[in-house]
Amino acid sequence: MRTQTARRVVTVAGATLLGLTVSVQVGFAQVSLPDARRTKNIDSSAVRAYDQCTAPTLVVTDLGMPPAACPVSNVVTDDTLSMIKCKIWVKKNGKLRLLGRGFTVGDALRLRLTLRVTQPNVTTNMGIQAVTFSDVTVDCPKDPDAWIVKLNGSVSEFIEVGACLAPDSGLQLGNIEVLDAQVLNVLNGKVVAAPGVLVQ
Amino acid sequence: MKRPGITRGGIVGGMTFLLLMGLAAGARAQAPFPSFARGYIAYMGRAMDECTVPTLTVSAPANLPSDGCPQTNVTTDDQASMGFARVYLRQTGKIIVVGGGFLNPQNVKLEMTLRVTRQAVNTNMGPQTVTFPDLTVQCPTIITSQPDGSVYNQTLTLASCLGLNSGLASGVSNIQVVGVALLNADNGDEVFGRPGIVR
Repeated sequence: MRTQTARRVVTVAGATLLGLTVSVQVGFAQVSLPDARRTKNIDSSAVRAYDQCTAPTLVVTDLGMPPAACPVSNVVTDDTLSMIKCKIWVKKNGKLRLLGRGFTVGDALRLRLTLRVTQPNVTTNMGIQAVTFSDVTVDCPKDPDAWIVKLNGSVSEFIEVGACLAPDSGLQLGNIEVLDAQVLNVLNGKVVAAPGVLVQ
Repeated sequence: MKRPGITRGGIVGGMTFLLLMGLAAGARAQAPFPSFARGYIAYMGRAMDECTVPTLTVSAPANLPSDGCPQTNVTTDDQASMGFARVYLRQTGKIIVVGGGFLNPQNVKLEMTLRVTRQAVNTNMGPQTVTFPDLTVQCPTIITSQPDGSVYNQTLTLASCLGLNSGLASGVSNIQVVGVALLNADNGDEVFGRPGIVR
């Protein structure tokens, strides 16, 4: 009798476990992530950031261009810093790097990133599953720190992305979409530069 | 007795002129372009749906936000496969896409959102530096993976991607790359790759 009860318990437990496993597998029946060994860095030059043109007021008469545009402006973007060249790296090893020259000694800069992180095998109230976290915007280095431009007008700094994400430093792992990257002028909080190219 | 040379009116006039010049210079003041910005290189992470209303309570691993969403791919593609992909936009206007681990075959499109600022553009208000409304363009060339799932140095041009606005790809343009995405042309052009890293 006891043996039968024990078998029944084991069977039920086994079935539950199987169900749990299946449900977990269903949870994972999602797109596969890229191969972490073959996915490397984001390595971009940065161009000057200008205000977005949302309500064009100019009629463009040149051919091969959009028919309307805005006068260039730097109201929500920075127009106080000079910059000859700037580069941004988001490295696979979790380091962020900023390299630039042509700034003025004493200028204070930060990187601002907007990230969407998805991780497999996260323990939740609904079991273990792949989770996408709410988009997070982080400043590197964190306030009140900043990268100060040297006497020669250059900046060459790096930081661990985990330090910028603290206390949620666990977000430094997984599938990390970089939705936005900006170089900030710390003194006015405005965007100086953003990834891009100077076509010429 | 009037002093010869500078009069009060002259001084006031001069100061007004300087003030107006200053205001005019201020009105024209704009951040200059950088001297160099040679290339944009981005490996791609897998695109996932945004988590706007977290429904899960997260307990482990440590140092994660306390809540999140189940990973979903409703507004993003869930059909494509991608081992890795890299997009390289050069200052010359050449775009190179490399990748591996795609389906055989898999048809891929490149989409970019660009903010272009350009000097000496002819307008109804005369030549001036302008910023165009953000342009989201899909390059017309469909990239098809090889039988082994690879994409070898598929070369596109910025001019072809800009289509009717191809004039922005020549001359001097400050081009902010606001967004880059790989689209699954076999699945309604849904996004499956965005700049990112996998760790």
